[in-house]
Amino acid sequence: MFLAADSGSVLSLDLSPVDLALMLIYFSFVLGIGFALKRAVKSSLDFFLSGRSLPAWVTGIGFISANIGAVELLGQSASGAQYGAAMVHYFWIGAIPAMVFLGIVMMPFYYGSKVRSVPEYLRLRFDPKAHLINAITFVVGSMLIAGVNLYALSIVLEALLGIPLIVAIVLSATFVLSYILLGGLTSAIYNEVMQFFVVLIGMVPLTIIAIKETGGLGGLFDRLGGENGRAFVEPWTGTGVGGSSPIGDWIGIILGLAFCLSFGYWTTNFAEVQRAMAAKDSNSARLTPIIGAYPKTFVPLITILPGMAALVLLPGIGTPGSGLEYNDAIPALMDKYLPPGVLGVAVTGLLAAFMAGMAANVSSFNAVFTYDLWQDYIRPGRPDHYYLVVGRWVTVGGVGVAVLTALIASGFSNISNYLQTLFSFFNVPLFCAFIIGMFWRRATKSAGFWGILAGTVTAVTVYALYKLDVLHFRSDLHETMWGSIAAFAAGAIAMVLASLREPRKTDAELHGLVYGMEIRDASDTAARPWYRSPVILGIGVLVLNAGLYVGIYAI
Amino acid sequence: MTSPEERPGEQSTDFLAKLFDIRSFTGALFLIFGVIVTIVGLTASDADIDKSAGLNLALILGLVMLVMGAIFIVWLLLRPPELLHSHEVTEEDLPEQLRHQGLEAIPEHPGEPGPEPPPPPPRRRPRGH
Repeated sequence: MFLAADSGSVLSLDLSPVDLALMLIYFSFVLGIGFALKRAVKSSLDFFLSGRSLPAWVTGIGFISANIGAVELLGQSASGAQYGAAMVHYFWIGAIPAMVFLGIVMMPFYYGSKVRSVPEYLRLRFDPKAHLINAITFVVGSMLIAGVNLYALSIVLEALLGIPLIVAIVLSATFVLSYILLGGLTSAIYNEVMQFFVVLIGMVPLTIIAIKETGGLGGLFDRLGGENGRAFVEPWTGTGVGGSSPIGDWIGIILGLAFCLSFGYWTTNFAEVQRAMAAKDSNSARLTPIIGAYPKTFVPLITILPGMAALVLLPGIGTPGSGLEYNDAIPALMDKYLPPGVLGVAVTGLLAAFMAGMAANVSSFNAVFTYDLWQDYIRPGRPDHYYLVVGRWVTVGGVGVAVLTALIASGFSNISNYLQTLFSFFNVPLFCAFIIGMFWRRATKSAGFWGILAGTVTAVTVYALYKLDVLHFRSDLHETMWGSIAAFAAGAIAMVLASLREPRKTDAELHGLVYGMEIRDASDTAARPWYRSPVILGIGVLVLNAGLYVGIYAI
Repeated sequence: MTSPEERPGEQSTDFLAKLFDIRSFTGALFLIFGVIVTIVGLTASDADIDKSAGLNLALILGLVMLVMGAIFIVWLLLRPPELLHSHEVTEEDLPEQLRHQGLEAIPEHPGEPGPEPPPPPPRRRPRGH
């Protein structure tokens, strides 16, 4: 899930030569992957979708890794310190169900229809208006977020290596550019897999120390519960309508967060769905988000938990005068507790996460720009090799724009937060268009466009009314939940109204795109063991998450 | 997983594919990291151990990484990799609704490349079924 975080002060960490050596080794592996994969990129499909050839475990880890970027790692630990255990809603109910739904229900349409991007689905299911609105907002939004990730990476580099910010920005950008340019999406995904394990190995020691130093989970929760109230350590306490939890009420959490916001993010965000489209067959594509859901379940242990422990271990964090913001929780804990060697792995993991976040934006941006804007509207009908070359140039251009965005972000961090909020308004209406488009055959050509438009306008209106104090919510998080419920409802009504005044689409036009007309390949119908069944694994992870909700009350 | 494709003249590509599998990269990285961090752990001072709550974190983490690296390499040897990106783009790779746009079509099995296809003129396919 996406939380706006300002990257304020970053601590300077004291790195030993061993730590620096570990960083250098990691980065040479990253470039090595790019060079090794260069010869494997022969077509535009190889470059943008890995030739649809990767096994499910690779795309599954890439899927979750693309989501563990700068904003996520630091932002979620900051939210853990600020809001407490209730932040697990953003994982256990606000991410996992959507990922399982994407794998079991929606992926057959994305993969079976052979569309090459999320906007391309809209173009086939609806019309070019819906397609353009999604393609353009996605392209602009991902450049912006790439810039924010780049900026976050650069201030860490600046602090670690003592180089000027502008040099750090250009250096990091060149690095990401070169490995995507060489190996395309495969390069990005391979690096995401490697990054995932390094982040895991680098962050787990912090969790262990956080638990050990605070007297065990029970001790930590008792103490925080005593100081900050039970709602701080019990995710559902205070979420009644009219209750006091800053996260909001249970209706907002279930309908707004778990349904609208989370489904909007996970099922329509091409940076995520692209990983599943790179899988080698339909069953692997369906397994992708579900395999990713298992590690996602445990990410709170390396983000929210250290954030909460930081309240005890770093007294005064987040209060004026302490010199520490909530965003500094993880770097500050690293600095205080990790010995040489271990610190190197942890810092490498942090940098790798920043880089992978940006690479995910760039590798999805170039696919949408090349296929959905250049090929569809500007230079159609050229040979495939032409689009491969265009794709590489678009990558260069995209990274260039991200550098500019990063420079702007370094001057006006609030502007980039507002812009991110703006683009988040598109997610929920998009999900509305997809879900109705997939399950209601009667939805017509222009329904998609009107649904997205009406939903987005509604989301912006609710946000503006909240900011103008006309509507009242407990917090920004609470507002986004109810804003997205309103956006979904408005989008759905607009789609129905638009469909009623138009002729329906023919079955040939809808083949592969709607419920009841899925195109399945052999991997879907073949007998498979339980550990390759999307439904069994999907139910498994849902049960696991329900169990964790129960478990957290037992602490 | 299916078995790697076996075609004459592909041995060298096959060898490279083995070398360039993600498991070999990740395995090698963790073996190197594991060796370095284990050595740091073996030579850790008391101050380092006190810093991290009385645990010799470097030693623990180094050994964990050695094991992880070994698991990746063993896995790679047990399940040899498949070839990446082994096919040319054909009309079959496009959504049905877009196939009239003019890529060369190979009406055989999608996903299994034939030898160099003769370039037929772009042809219109009937839309849908």
